[in-house]
Formats: sequence, C-alpha cells, structure tokens
Amino acid sequence: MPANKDVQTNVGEGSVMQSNVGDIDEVIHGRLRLGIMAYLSAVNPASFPELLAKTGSSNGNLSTHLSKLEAAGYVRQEKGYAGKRPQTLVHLTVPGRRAWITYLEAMKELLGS
Amino acid sequence: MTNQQTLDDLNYATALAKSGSEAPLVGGPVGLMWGILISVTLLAHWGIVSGTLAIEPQYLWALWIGFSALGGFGSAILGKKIATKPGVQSMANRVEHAVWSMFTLMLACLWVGIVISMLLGMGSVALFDLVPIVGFAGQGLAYGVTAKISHHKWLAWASGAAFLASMMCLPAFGQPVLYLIAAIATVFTVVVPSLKTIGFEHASQ
Repeated sequence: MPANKDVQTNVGEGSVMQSNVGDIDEVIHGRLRLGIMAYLSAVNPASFPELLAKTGSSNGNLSTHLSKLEAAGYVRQEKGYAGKRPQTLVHLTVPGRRAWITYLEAMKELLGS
Repeated sequence: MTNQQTLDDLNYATALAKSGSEAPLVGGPVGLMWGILISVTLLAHWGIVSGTLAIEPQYLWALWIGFSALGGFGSAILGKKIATKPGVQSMANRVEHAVWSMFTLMLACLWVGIVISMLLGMGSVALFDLVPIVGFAGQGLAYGVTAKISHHKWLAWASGAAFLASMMCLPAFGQPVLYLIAAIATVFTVVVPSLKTIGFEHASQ
C-alpha cells in the first residue's frame, strides 16, 4: 500500500531534496518487486520459472516477494498443471496494473523528468 | 535509498519490461510444420487432379483427412512445448495466436459451408478451389496484423506475398494447376517466414 510520509531523497550529486513521497508505493518500491511488476506489465501471465529466469532471483526470494505483491492484490498466483507437471502462473491484476502506472508516474515526478 | 540506487533499480525494471515486450514470436515451429504439411498436401492434390499421380480423385478425401489429423496432432504436440517458452504471453505472441486461431476457424467454416452446399446438391467440387484462394488472403491479413504488433517488418513482406499468392491463384480457379501454384506459393508464404521466425527466436536467446 502507498506510504504517506516525508523522506529525504537524493535528487542529484550533492543535493538532497525533502520530498513528499506519498505516491510512492512501497509494496512495489523494492528491486525484485519492481522487476516482477515490470516484466508482468509486458508478459501477463508469466510462469514462476520464467520469472525466476528473468529476475535472476532465488526460488525462496521470489516466492516471498510474490506473496507480498499478492497480499496487496497486485498479482494473482494460479496453481495448476501444464500437462502432468505442476505450474504456477502469475497474473498482474487490474489494481496491480493501475498501481504500477501510478508508481511510474510518481517516480517520474520525484526524479524530475 | 539514494538517487543512484533508485536509478539502478529503475534501469533493472526497464530492462525486464523490455525483455518482455520484445519477446520473440514463438509460433515458428507450428508454422513450419503446417507449411511443410500444406505444401506436400497441395502438391499431392495437384498430382491427383492433374493425373500426374496414378491415384483416383476419390482418394482426395483421404488425403485431406490425413492432412487434418496430422496437422492437429502436430499442433497439439508443438503447442505444449511452446506453452512453456518465456514470453509466450507477450502482447505480440497473444495477438499472433489469436489471429491464426481465427484464420483456422475461418477456413474450417468455409470448408464446412462447401461440404453442406455439395450435400444439398447446390455446389460442385470446384468450390474447394476457394479454400487456397481465401486461405492466402487470410494469411496476408494474419501476417499483417502480427507485423504491426510485433514490429517485424519482414512479416509485412510475408503478408504482401500471401496477398499476391491469393491474386495469382484466382485466375487458375477450376484448373488443376491452381494446386501447383498454391503448393509453391506456400513455401514462400509459410515455410520461409516460419524459418525466419525460428531463426529470430534462436538469435534472441
């Protein structure tokens, strides 16, 4: 969920800006979760092994971060089978896509571009 | 989090988003299988109706039923393999899958319509000549849509070649040579583009 607090953000070499980052969604704002959301914005759904390969994450780490995104309602994990093999498909939900776009706009504004 | 860290994370996310949106088309092996199968079947059809092959024309049914069965089986096997490829659910791959599914449905409807008209005594065997003509036009449309979505310009050339094949087949309507033209054209409109798709997919891995 979006964090609503003031934080110090470095905006350039040697300068520090006091920014209200209420629009920066802390659920998304982590390297791996950012990567997951970015990939799912282009490939939806993606399988768990596909996300593992693309993000370069470990199995447990990816599971943990997917659970956080799922708890926020941003992704949905669908357990099923591909033939006889178990397969987990990760879907970006409609609120997830909305949150992703809001996050990108907030970051753009924060970084001043 | 410093500005540099944030930028690094955003660059990482951008690279992932790009790898997804630029995921290669994965349908090449299915296209290649159908391309070879269609070319061989059309060539056999021409051989039978032109008298080049010493086979009675009533066996054309067996030829096309065998074609459908083999194609269906091959699609099911290759489809399973493709379903696990990275990027299979990218926009370009989803559009490609949708347009070719609709293409197959369109040809199936045309085929059933012809069979019904023949059963009702209102049509002739020559109506089957419509299938390759409409098929090439449909291919042109499918390639054109996929080219637009995937930004692969060479697919636009495949689209043009398929439309050209449709035009070239029309004057041969009702003549055995139609199937020879169609068999040769299929090599250029299905086999070659499928090989190119496979090559592009391998190059991007």
